[in-house]
Amino acid sequence: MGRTNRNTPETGQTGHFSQPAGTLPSGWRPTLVGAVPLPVFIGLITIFNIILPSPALLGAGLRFEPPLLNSILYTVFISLTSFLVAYISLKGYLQTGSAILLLLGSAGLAWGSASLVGSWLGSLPAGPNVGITIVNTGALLASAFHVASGTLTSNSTFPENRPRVRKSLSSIAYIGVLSFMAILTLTSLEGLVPPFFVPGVGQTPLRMAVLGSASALFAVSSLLFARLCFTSKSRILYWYFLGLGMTSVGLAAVFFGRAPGDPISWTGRAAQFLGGVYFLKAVLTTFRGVHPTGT
Amino acid sequence: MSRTRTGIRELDDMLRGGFLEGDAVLVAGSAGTGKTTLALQYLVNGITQFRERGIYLTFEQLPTQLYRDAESFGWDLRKLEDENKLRLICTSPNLLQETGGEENILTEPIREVQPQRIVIDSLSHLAMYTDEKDMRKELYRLIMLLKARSLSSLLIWEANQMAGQSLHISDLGSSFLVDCILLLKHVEIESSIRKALVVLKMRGSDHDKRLREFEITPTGVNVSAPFTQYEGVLTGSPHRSLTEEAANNWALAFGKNKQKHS
Repeated sequence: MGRTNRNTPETGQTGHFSQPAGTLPSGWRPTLVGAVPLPVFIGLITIFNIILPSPALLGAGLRFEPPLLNSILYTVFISLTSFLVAYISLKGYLQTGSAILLLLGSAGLAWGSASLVGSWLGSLPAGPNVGITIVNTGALLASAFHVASGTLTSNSTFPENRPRVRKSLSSIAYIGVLSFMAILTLTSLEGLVPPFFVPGVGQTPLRMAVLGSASALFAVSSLLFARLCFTSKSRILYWYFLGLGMTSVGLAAVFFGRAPGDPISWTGRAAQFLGGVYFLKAVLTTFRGVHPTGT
Repeated sequence: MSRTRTGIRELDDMLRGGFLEGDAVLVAGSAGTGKTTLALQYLVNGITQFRERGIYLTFEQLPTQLYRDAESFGWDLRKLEDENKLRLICTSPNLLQETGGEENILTEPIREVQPQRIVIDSLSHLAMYTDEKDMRKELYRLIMLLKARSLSSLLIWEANQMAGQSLHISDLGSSFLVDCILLLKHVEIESSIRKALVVLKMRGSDHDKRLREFEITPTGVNVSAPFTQYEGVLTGSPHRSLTEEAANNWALAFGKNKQKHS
C-alpha cells in the first residue's frame, strides 16, 4: 500500500514543452560563415605584423585611439553581451544547479565588469595603465572560469548543487567576482598593482604574462566547448566556442601590436567585439522555439 | 489575531501563521490531490502539537479506511480517539441535515470531545443530498453552526478539474460563505503529474498569493517552492516563461548535454 494518495490523478490538463532549442538533429552541419572570421583575423594580424614598421618608425597616421569610442565599443560589444551570458547562466544555474553554469556566469560577469570599468578608466590623465590592468586581469579571471567550466563538460562531469544552496552559492560567486573587480580597481587606482603598461615604454612583462595566459586559456576553453559542441550538435555551443575563439585571438593580437591604436590593436579589438556578438548570438539562440506547442 | 496553525510549516508561512481562529476554510481539489491527507494532518497536528482536539466527519470513508490510511503516515487515530482527543464520525449527509431544535449528529461529539477543530469530508457528498437551490442555505447553516461553537473548520470540496480549465469552486456559491479557500490541483509539467497548492482567499489576513508545489510524503503533506518558473499552472496550461525557457535551453546546452539530442 503506497503512502501517497489512493486516487488516480486526473488527466486532461496539459502543458506541453518544446524540445530544447539550440540543439539540432544529427544531420546538422555548422555554418561556415560564423567560423570564417577566425582565420581571417589571424591572417590579418599576421599580415599587419609583417608589413607594419617597428614602433619607433610607426607614423602617427597609423594610430587611432579615441578614448570615448573605445569605451563605448567595449561597453556595447563586450560588457553588455557578457552580462547577458552571466544573467542567463545564473537563471540556468538556479533551475538546474549545474556548477558548469555557475562558472560560466562568473566568467561572463568577470569579463563584462572588467571591460566596462577598464575601458572607462582607460582615458584617465594618468594614462591607460589602470584600464589595461583591469581589463587584462579580468580577462585572465574570466578565462580561468571558462577553462574550469569547459573541463567539467569535457570530463563528462556535471556536478549539480541542491536547490537549497543555489541562491546562496550563486550570490557568493557573483558577489565574489564583483568584489574582486572592485578591489582590483581600487588597488590599481592607488598604484598598488605592478604596472601593466608604462607610457613611452610599452607593455610590461607582467602584462605579457597575464594576457598571454588569458589568451591561451580562452583558446583552451574554446577547444573544450568546441568538442562538446560537435558531440551534442548544439547551435548555442557553436556560437559560444567561436566567441571564445575570437576573444582569444583578439587578446593575442596585443602581443604583436606596435602601439595602442595601431592596425593590429584594432584588428584584435574587432575580433573581441565580434566574439561579443557571437556570445550574443549564442544567448539569442536559446530563445528560439521556446513557446509551448500545446494549448 | 489568534491563528489556527496547520503544523505544516510552509503552509503556515503561506497563511502568515495559520488560519484565523474559528474560520471556515474550504479545501477544494480534484480526486487524488491530497485533500483528505491534508485534513487528517491538520487534525493530528492540532492534537499532537497544539493541544487542540478535533472531529473528523466523513460521508465518504469508513473509519477502518481512515485508520489504515493514517497509519501509513504514522498517525495513530485509534489512540487519539481512545484519549478522547479525536472523534471520527462516519455517517450519511442527510443525518447531518436532520435537526431537532439545535440538536444534530455533531452535538454529542462536540460536547464529549470539546474540539477546537473539525473537518467535514466532504461538502460534495452533502450536495448530493441537497437540492441545488437549497445548497447555499444549507452551507450557510452548517458554517454558522460550526462558528457558533467556535470551531475552526476545514470543509472539503471535491471539484472537477476539467481539461485545460481552472477549478470552478464557486458553483455552490460557497466561495463567499467561507473565510478562506485553499485550492489543490494537479498540474502536468514535463510529462509528470505534480501537485500545486494556492491560497485563493483569506478573509481578514494577508497571505502568500503564489502557487506552490506540494508532495504527499511518508510523513504527510510537504509544501515546497513556488512554481516561479512557470506561467499558466492554474489554468492547466503550464509553460515556462520566455526567459526561464531560454535559461533552460542554455542549461541543456552546457550543463546537461550528456545525451545527444535528436
